[in-house]
Amino acid sequence: MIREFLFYEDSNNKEEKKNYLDLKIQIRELIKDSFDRKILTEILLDLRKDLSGQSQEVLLKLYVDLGLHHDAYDKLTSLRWPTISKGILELTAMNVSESYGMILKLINHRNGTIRKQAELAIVNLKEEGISFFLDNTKYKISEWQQLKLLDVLRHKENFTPPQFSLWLTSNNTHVVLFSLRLIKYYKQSDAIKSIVTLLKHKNNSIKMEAIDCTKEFYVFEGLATLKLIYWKSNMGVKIAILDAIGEIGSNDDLEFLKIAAQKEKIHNIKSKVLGTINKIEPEHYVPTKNIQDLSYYSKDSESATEEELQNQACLLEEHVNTEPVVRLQNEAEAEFVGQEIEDKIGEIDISNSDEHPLEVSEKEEASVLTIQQLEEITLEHDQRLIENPFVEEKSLEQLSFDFLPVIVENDIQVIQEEMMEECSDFNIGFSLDEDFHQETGDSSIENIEQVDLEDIEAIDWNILFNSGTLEEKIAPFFEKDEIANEKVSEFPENHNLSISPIFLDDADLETMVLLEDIDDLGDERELALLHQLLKEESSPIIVDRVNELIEKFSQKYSDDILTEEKPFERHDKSVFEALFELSDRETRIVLLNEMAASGGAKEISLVKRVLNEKDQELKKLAQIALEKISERKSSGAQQEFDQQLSHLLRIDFELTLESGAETPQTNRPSGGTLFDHLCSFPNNFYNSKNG
Amino acid sequence: MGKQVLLADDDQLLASLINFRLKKGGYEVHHSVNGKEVKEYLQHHKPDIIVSDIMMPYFSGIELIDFVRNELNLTTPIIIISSAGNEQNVLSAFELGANDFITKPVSPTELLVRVARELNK
Repeated sequence: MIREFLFYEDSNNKEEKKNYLDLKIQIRELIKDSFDRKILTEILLDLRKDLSGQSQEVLLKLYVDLGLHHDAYDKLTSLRWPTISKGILELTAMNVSESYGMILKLINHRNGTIRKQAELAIVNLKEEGISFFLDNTKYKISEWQQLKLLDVLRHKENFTPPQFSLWLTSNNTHVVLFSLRLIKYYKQSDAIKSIVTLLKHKNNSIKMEAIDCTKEFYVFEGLATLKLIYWKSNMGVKIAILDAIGEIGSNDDLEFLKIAAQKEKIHNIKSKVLGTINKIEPEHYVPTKNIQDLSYYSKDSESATEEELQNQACLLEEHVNTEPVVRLQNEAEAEFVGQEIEDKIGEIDISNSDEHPLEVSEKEEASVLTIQQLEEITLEHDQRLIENPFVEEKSLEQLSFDFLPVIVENDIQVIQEEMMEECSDFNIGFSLDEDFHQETGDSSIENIEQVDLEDIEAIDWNILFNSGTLEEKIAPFFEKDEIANEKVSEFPENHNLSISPIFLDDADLETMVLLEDIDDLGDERELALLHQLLKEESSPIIVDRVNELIEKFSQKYSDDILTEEKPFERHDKSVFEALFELSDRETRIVLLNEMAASGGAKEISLVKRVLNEKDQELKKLAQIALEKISERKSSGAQQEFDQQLSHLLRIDFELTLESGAETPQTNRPSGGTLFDHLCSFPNNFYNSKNG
Repeated sequence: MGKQVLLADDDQLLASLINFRLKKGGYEVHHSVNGKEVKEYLQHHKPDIIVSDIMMPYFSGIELIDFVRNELNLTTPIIIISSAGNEQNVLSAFELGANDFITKPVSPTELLVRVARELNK
């Protein structure tokens, strides 16, 4: 029916025209029913998306002709916002321009969805819709909404945009921002003054948009303002400004950029500044570090004189040695390292020290110290400490810094003096506490025996390798008294210290493994097994190990050693005991209640212990439990229960296959479990129920 | 007898409109709602032109082009109906051997013109 309407042409023959008229009457009859009207509306809305061109126009006209838009008008007056929204959508989709006036009133609706729908509708329906919207909207325009409006405007056929600069003075900052974007999109470059003024706007988004417009339209008048606002802007705005300056700037702006490059500390901005400079003046910055002077390359190397070559060689060779190398030589005599280095420092010209600062010259020989000199130094130090154990405060002037190598360009002595002057206020102000010595008593330092170095040298170390007893060997190193007092422990002659490995056979090895497992995991219940093993095993190692384990388990439970005859009887201990010890107060209350309900003679000892506790509630519950247990015990019910329990636990029968025992009936009146009921349903019944 | 058009589109509403328009233009139209039906139809019939949507159940328009060109080895002109923004599919369709394409929303009149043009080549 619809396609007849859609593809009807005036040039059709009479029959087709008649058919068309009949269809018209038919459809008008149909749409009297609201349900049919709804269906038709849905179909037309659906087709609206799929059709274009003339067919679409016919469709829209059909929608209006049939009066289906009145239903949408009714929706606009509804109290429910989804209905209103649907109505707006329908009218927009079917392009009913008559509804423009009705939808205008909704652009400041309190409901956001209706507001946004209405905004899109008025922009869609009429060309002046965008102007009305920008004039009258009081709410913010979200980024997404701006995009949607722009999309509608972009796809509008034959749309002539208004001068959006008119709205740059709006009180609504979102309108100003949207207008700027529309200005940029439609390239309306006639609002330069307003754009330049907007560069100073407080809102950063508007500022950035204005900067974009400045860049887009090459507003050179804005450069001064850009430079003015630069210093108080945030990072994003700064980068946008630099971008704009890079685009429209000239060499006149380089000064500003250089200042910015010096002042900026944030890497991103700094690199942007440098990039901008390079954009305005390409290759403004060239590499300068480690670049040789022109004079270096000005003379030809072949014509260099011998003197110059030697000078170059000396420059390479003369270097500063930062650490003195001390090599001990038994025989050779050498100069003192520190003094030598100081002399060397004075001689070396370190103006070219950056070339090869770390290479060591072959000319310099490392100074050495003999052992004797080192020993003298050590002795002197020890004597000083013995005489005066406290560290004296020395002023900086007394301290010598000769050992420190100083790499400088000028004369070293001058520098050292300067350093001394600068540090004159600095005092190393610490010393040992005067009471320290008294508290600790005689310091160990005082008791140090002065070892005569000559004695050490006189020792013949070859004695150690000579034959003889230990005493004879160590005698020269100690005084006789010490040797007499020391008792050298002798090894017993009869001790059988065999260090050969012990190899067990497989059976013994398995037994040892079992014993290790018992040690890790077992308890007193393994005692019976252990006794059995003790009887059966002959290997002494295993016997020792078994004895150890028996001793270990027996110590823990010394009053409960099982005999060989009843290996499987349990120890007369309450099962609650272990739990009780590990539990908190609430759990103990629960356990006591359980003991009262089902406890026996084994629980009596535990309950009695609880009676001695301080907690009143626990004591009370223990008392109750004790009374109940005593009652049961006296009545003999407990004995029967225990007998039954032991009877149940005795496994002295073999399981055999027998016919199934009758299962106990549940409390259900129909008998059997739920599962049985389900299984008893016939398949047909089940299938019919479940389709 | 008019030229035979195979219309392959799962959108019943649009397909019926296009069907009607093409019939009005003097063509015999066979409408298939999915790729499976198209395949079965092509096993036994040889239409003069195929108008197919790209997105279809079981068998897409791209696969249909490949089937017609490589398996059946037919040179039947094929017009593809694609959604706007589906450039990649359009390019693939042309690479496989489609003759023309039309984007949605479709103008049935425009489609009629394109069908006539392909058949007259």
